[in-house]
Amino acid sequence: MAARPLLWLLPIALVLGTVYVIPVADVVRLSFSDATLLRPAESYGLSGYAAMLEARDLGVVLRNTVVFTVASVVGLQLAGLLVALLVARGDRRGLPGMTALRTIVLAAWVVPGVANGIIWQTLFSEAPFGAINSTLALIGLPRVAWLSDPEMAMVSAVLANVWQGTAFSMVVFYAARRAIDPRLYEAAEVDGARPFARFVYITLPQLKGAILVNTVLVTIQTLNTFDSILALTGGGPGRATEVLSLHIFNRVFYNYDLGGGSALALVLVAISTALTLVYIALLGRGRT
Amino acid sequence: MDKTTAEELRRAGAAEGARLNLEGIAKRFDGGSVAVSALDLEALPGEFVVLVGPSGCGKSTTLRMVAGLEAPTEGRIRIDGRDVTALGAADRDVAMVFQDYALYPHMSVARNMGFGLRRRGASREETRRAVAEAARILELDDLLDRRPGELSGGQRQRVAMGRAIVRRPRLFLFDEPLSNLDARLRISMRTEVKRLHARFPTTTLYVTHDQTEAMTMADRVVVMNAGRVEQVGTPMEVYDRPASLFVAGFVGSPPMNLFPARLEAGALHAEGRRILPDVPAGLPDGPVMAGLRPEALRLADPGAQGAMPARLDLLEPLGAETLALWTAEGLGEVWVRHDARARLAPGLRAALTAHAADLHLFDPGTGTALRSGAFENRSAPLGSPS
Ligand SMILES: Nc1ncnc2c1ncn2[C@@H]1O[C@H](COP(=O)(O)OP(=O)(O)O)[C@@H](O)[C@H]1O
Ligand SMILES: [Mg+2]
Repeated sequence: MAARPLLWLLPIALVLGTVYVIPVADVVRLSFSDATLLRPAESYGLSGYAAMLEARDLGVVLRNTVVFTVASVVGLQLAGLLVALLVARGDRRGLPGMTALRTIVLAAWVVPGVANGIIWQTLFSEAPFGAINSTLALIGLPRVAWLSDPEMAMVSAVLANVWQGTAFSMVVFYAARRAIDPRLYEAAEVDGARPFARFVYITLPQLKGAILVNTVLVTIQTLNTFDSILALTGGGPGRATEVLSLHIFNRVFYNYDLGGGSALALVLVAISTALTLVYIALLGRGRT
Repeated sequence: MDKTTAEELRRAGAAEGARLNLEGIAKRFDGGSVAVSALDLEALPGEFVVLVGPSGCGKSTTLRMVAGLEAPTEGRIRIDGRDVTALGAADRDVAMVFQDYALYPHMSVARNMGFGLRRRGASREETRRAVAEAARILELDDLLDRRPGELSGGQRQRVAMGRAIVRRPRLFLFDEPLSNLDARLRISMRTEVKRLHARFPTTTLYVTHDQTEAMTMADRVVVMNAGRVEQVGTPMEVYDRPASLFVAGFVGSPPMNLFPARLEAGALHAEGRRILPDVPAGLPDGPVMAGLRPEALRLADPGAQGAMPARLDLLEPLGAETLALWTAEGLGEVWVRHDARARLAPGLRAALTAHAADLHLFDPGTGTALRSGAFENRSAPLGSPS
């Protein structure tokens, strides 16, 4: 039926090609070069990749990336699911304030990453006026070294990221939860299933597709996050919160190492592309 | 009241269902719409009770209140005398077949059927045995590993039934379980449901908008209209002695022929004709609604005494019998049930006659039955000219 799809796809293909493919091709070229921010490429070779593999700090950065990503993805899924189910439940019971709750969660999402980092830096501040620490002190709990302790800094970075990203997961889960046939819950109730059993045997399996898709999308998002960490900890203390995307940023913009940064950026692109393929496969399976 | 069926069953030791009592239950939804008002109903152990009525009359709401999916705004629900009004669906030992089946799409047929047993604490092995047994009865053995999405409509319907019977509940609830099936399958499933009930005489509350389904399946029919019960009785009671105009017009296919008339000195008049010389009922003179079943009318000699001249408008040959729509003097448009071999053709001019004994009379204001066909005195023909 669709006789000439190419014709219709051509304009969008041209735009995408210009905006994405050309820069990526340029990154590929740069990754094989010795270019820095201050001068263009003079020679080409594998030195960028070699340096990447030799770099002592790469292991730490990759480890940080894995910890940050896994913790964020788990946190985002749980928080998103929790808020989505609360809102869906409130909707069903006609409780007031559900729109307000949704708006607040969405508000966190539209805040730019850098601003989010700054907001959380203020909240986590270890100075006497730090919002969270003074609250803890108020209720008699010890202060926490949110940003100066290497391990706590990672926890803080994950918290800030989860706070910001929850809205996205919530929207995905909320839509999926609303799409579940309410009759299934009634049938389960008549079958003797209590609320927890209904969650385990109806809600979770019915949300399986949404959870899979969301996992992939949120992973890609988190892998590419560096702005909020940059503003929150700058990757520190030391390299405690330096994830791959931030490492690339630092390498290019602080060390001027355009060639090495490009090589690492390609690694990130490869990971994201692989995840995207998984996502496409999931979507395709959902359709059949 | 047809207590015989249930009582016979109980005496035979076969009845294994609960006694269900609805005491003045009512449901008003948040928006203010009243779905059910002051409904009383008793279902005896093992009885098959059918709630029938037009769409929107509150059948599903009533059923859902019994299931515990909807809380009544007034009244009490008792199962075996125990007040369950405040209990949730999970705490009432009822099984329900939904109109759209509501099978769990992510579970196999076997898990769908076993889910209720597992949730109520049956072991894996018990569940497996009960599911296998139910699957055998419903001929689902080969489908146990499939997902609902891989089944035909009829198969899904059987799974929904299987999910209900596997638990051997004390009370079965059916909400229009056959309405999504095609006509042939519907009729065969009707038989199957009856056969299942004969085998496991569990108390059953069955909802349908299809009066044929109600008549063919019920021990007792409850005719509902606009949230109220119009009449409760055996199918034959409801057919022979409809308590109201609504029931008369709802039960029977085609429904009872109804026409406005007047009682004058014991005779029935319509459109200026004296249709019936002596109506054997001590009713005062005045306007009435009169009713005659399609089988109460038959062809007569145009010259015969009391015959009403009529013209045949439409024929519906059904094979075993033929339905004809006539326009008759005094009666207006009436459906008549004829022998299939009767030689009829549209445009035919003939005469119709009926027996006084088959006449139903209703109060034209309230619709209440004043007199139902009494089946005595079948000799006096209708329609002698006044
Ligand atoms: N959840 C609801 N909220 C408001 N009105 C409802 C609801 N469910 C049913 N009703 C109304 O109650 C009446 C009876 O509905 P229902 O019991 O489903 O009828 P039936 O099953 O006989 O077709 C209808 O007028 C319907 O619109
Ligand atoms: Mg209904």
